[in-house]
Amino acid sequence: MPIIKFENVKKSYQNKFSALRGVNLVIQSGEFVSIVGKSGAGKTTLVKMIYAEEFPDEGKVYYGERSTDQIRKKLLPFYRRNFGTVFQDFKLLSHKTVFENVAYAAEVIGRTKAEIEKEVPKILSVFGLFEKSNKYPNQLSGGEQQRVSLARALVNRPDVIIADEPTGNLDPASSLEIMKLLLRINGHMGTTVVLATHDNDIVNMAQKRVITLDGGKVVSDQNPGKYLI
Amino acid sequence: MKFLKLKRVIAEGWTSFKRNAWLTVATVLVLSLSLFIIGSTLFVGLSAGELLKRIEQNVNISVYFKNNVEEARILEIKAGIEQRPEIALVQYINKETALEKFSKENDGDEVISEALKEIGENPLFSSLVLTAKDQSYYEELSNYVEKNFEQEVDRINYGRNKIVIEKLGRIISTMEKIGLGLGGIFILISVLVTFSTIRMSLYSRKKEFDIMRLVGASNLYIKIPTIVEGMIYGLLSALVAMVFIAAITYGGIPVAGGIIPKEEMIGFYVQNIWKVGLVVLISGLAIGVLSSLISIRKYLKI
Repeated sequence: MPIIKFENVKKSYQNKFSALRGVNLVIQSGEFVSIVGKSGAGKTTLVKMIYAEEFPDEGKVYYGERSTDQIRKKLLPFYRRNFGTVFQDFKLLSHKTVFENVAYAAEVIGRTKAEIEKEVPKILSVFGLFEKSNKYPNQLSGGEQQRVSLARALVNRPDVIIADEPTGNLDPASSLEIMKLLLRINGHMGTTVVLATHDNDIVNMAQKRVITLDGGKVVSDQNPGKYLI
Repeated sequence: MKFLKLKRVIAEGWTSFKRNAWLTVATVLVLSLSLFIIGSTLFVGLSAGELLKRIEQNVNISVYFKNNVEEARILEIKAGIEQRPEIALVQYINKETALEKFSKENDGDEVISEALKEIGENPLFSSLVLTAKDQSYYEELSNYVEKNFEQEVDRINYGRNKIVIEKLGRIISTMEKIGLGLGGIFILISVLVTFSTIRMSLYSRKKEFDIMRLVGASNLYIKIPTIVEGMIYGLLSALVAMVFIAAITYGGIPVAGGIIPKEEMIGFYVQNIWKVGLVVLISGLAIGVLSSLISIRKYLKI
């Protein structure tokens, strides 16, 4: 069943080369897809369009049946709850503890205190962070911070995990660990994973579908694929 | 569910207030200063108005009678004046009472008591003290007494008081105007400074708001904690400002005590400090909430 669909999507930024020049692709529910390419190939623009942080100039991006340009601005935060997001810079709230960071995402959507107190420690244990519950982000290593961010992305059991260069700031060992977690989430929970990266080691390890972008166009789409460029 | 969220956003605001310690201290200090200026301007304004009213109430005319006028005649005149509609009170002070009062007032002044002894007899006059219902009646009252009792009356001291009172009135109203003008300028400046301080404190958290939106927080869910934070700023600053205003004005009582009796001053103080407190509290909350609300709008564009 298709969950994400790009239809001839074009996007350009002012004073710049076009970021996307007619992208067509379909991602199936439960798939693990790596989007690879050089810096500036359009990876980030592409994933941002999925969770409606960016919108196409031309063409449409569908999530399920609906295209993103039909979502009312006011309802965007609710739309974004379909996705768990992970970034290169972790994007953790610095004045909140590990527990609070993960709990915040659950609080925001109105889950009860009892649920949160049951769910958050569970997910923290799964990611090996239970001992660090009361630490602040700046007291953790990069790998640990990324695991917190992954735990936060998962706490509401989203349909899709979007990871934009999640290993960009991590050493090879931590990168591998994050990749293994992403694969496990995909395998065990059936969560769709869209991974944008230029880290060839982790992409080659995954043995999953690889879409290669170059100059704003899809130049290769293979399943299973390899890092080409 | 609604209540759960409300509880959460309030707790969220409180936590954020606690953990942004430095900005919190700075914001509260600036806001306190604003509120201090607002509160003290108000208090000074209230005091000056009250002072003028008090002085106006103390205005009266003393009519001094010649020494040869019998007490019975004076009482007759008193009864006559009391009939007039503009009169509030007529008091009779005979020579002896006048002397008693005079000696008491100048107790310890050697020169005066020596002089009194030297004269040997009571040098003071019997008098009627007339208090009118309104200040504007005095002119007319003074003319009436002068015309009708020319033979009995030695002198009327209206003219002298009049100049002093008018002068005082002018000084106070000028002071009020200057105070109001300066107060207005100060208030404007301090509100602007507070506003930009809160704006800065929110600016430093722009990244945070972005993250919150990313995890799916609705705009309201981000906004309300900020408003709660603004309210806490306002509340705390109002408290700080009031402590200072209360202490300083209370300390000022003995200074102003020369004009108005101390007991009355304390009564006046207690009566007005509440009003000032209320205004300061409301201004604090309003500035805190409004600044937060206006500032955050900028950071919540999707």
